[in-house]
Amino acid sequence: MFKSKWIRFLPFLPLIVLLLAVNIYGDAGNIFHSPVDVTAEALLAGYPAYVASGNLSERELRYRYICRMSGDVECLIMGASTVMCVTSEDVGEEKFVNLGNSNGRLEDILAYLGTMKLLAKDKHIRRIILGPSEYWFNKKMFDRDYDEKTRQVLKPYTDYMFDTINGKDTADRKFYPADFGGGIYEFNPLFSISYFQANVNYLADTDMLNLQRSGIVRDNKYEGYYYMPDGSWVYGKTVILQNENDVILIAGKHVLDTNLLDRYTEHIDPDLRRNFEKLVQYLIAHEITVEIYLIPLAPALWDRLDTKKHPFFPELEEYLIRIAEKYSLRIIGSYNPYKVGITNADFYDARHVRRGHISRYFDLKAKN
Amino acid sequence: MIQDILYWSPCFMTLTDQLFFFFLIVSGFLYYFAPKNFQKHILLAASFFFYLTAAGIKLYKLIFVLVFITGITYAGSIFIDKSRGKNRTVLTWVCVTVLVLALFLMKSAYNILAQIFEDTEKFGFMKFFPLIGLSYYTLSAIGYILDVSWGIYPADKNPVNIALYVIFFPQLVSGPVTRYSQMREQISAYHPLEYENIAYGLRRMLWGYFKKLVISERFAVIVSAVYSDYGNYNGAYIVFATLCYAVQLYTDFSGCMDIIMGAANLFGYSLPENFDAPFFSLSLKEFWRRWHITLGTWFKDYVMYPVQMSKIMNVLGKKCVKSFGKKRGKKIQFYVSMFVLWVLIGLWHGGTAHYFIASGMIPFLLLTLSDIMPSWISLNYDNIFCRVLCRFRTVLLMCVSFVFICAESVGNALGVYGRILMNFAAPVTAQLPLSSYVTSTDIALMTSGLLIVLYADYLKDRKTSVTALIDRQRPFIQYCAIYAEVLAIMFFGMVGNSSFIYFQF
Repeated sequence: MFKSKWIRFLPFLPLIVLLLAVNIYGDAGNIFHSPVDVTAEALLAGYPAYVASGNLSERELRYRYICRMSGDVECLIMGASTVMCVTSEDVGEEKFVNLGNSNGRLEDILAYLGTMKLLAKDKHIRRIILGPSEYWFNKKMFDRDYDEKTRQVLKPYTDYMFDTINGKDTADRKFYPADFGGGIYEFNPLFSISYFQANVNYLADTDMLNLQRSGIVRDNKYEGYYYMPDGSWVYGKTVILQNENDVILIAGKHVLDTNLLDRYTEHIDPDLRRNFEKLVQYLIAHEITVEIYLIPLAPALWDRLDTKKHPFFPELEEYLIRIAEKYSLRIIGSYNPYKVGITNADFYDARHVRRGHISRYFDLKAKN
Repeated sequence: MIQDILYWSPCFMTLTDQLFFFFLIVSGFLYYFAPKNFQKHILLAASFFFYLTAAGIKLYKLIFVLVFITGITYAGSIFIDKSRGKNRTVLTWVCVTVLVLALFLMKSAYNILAQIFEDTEKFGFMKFFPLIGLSYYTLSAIGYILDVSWGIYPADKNPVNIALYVIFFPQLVSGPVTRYSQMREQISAYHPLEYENIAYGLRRMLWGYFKKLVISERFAVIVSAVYSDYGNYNGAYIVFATLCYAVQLYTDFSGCMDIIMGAANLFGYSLPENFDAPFFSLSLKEFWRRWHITLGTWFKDYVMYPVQMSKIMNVLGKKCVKSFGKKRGKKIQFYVSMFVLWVLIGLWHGGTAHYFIASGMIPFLLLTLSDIMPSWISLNYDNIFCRVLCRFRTVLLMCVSFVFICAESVGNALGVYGRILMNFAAPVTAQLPLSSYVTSTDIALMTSGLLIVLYADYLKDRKTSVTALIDRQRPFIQYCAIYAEVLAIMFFGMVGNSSFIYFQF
């Protein structure tokens, strides 16, 4: 056997082992080790929690949070990342959960509501704050989505809720736990060189020997992103330290990099508009107070819009005001930052209002 | 169910995917451990599957194209072989015309019409499925038909052999353009599992991945940064970026060829080389003998020589000799044939104006000019300084074409030339400095990578190779060299979604 020439390949085995070992151990994307369950548990136990690499399936986290939470939640906020910093203090509710997530679409809201309904955890909900963003009404935004796989996993809940709000008979539908996949059977990332390089960089920046995938924030020394027990989001130190000039730079770069303005030339999609109204009708019919929270764009971004070439936001606001009037809903805020009086200094970047500045400009507390 | 199958379009697989390696392992295993008589059938099935995933089109479209091309090639060659005299000529013309038309319609027609007419909607039906590799295997098919017609060898009556020749997967998407005489014996032979084939194949593929992922992709960043914003860069930067494109193109294309050759070797096949250290050429003429060799020789053998020997050209030649004298007259005849050759090469590159000019007209112009230059102007090749100067001159002359490719349109290319000539040293007004696009690690990798490639080509120019050099060392050094290559790819390879440049043809 040892005379065989084929044995000359054996010294290269360590290279394959290195590739697999770094990808599995580093796992910066949390593909092989999911910290989502542990993070959800920590939040529900009342601890602020983080995922070390910053890579987390937000939708999976929201789903697992919903599955584990008690059924006594009374107030929700739902929308895209623009609502993720809204806290229980901002809304003046103790039994509050923030279910916002990045690139949050109407489908995500339906998925979460569907999960809650199937698990009978929606019985005490009396107030929902909806934060409509461009993702809700503009299909051109969909190609910027990075979490389609998780959305597909949650599709049964989305479909269930969609059928419910459209008056179809869904009495026979049952709850089946979602399977998010992952683990060692993910072939592509296991042998991926780009994932290897990401893991090498990740391991180089962390304590390799004591690698923590998630943890509890116990003091002010932690500088990364984390979630609060009410589901709201706290940005990392580097983002928090961004100032007004950074907001102006980011607004410019963001627009150039992502060709964002091209998307704002669109008009509101009629299908998405119809689904939104169906949802509002359903919630009202179930005696839930619906409020609409319009999160402004940073002035640095708003100033780049030409209302004639980019009618999307003015059109959307006009539509939502009509819906609010039609169904007697409270509407808070405006997409136009100048109507609200908010400045670039109140933002982290072109779209996200600073945590702690929200209640200065938006009264999200319930009006009885 | 049948409709679902026919409309099936599996995930897209490229030469840099992990899926490709998985495909090689599975097909290699089946290939070598299947019964002897089924080896080429397995390779044919693997080739078909590879093409289905690499092309990313629906199954029924792929079946149609492959059956059409292979059918014409197989049936046409058999009928041609059986016929004689005028019938043989007519049949040959019919088969070749059908294949050329198919290639033209499926590849270039829409592009050409879109350049001429503004309203492209009415020609939308001509925007056929952009089938990668079509240009390469169609040429191989045409070459086979012509060889049979000229009596170089008889038609092969085994359809599996012809099908495998046409769609042999390593050469499918980017060449080389093979001749049936080079493949006939290999296709018919049984290929036992041999260590040397696997070892050499893997090493060749590794070298290709190193050139593409570590070197080419990095140079591409600079080219893209400058050319996407050339109005804000001065002529010096643009010249530098064009030189970077020369490196990018060569390492990309030759890297692709190395991967293809290596993959073919894994199955016991040897494909013809496509590059012979082209940037060590002392003249443009020599460059075109060393660059994309199989395409050049194909056009020379199947287009230029037949055109030159044709009756029309003979008549033209006699008239030119009568009018301009023997020497000039024959030259004119030669230049006309060359013009036809380069027009077709330009069209082969896709029919867009800038590619037509870059890959057809400019080479023709420069080659003609270099031919008519007086002999006292040429440099002494015995002098080492002159040789270096000549090589650099060749690269610069090639960059004249590359500007059109990088600029992606004739208008932009003329704008670029304007910047080079009028604003060679003007201040740079780009938003971000060029240094922001590359780190110091990138610069180190690009420099060392380029030196390694140049050294490898220098050895090739001396009729040896890096592989031979490494094989002469002790085993420890050999392993270190291969380890270094693999680790360079693992740590520094830019494995993104970019494809190989010549896939577009």
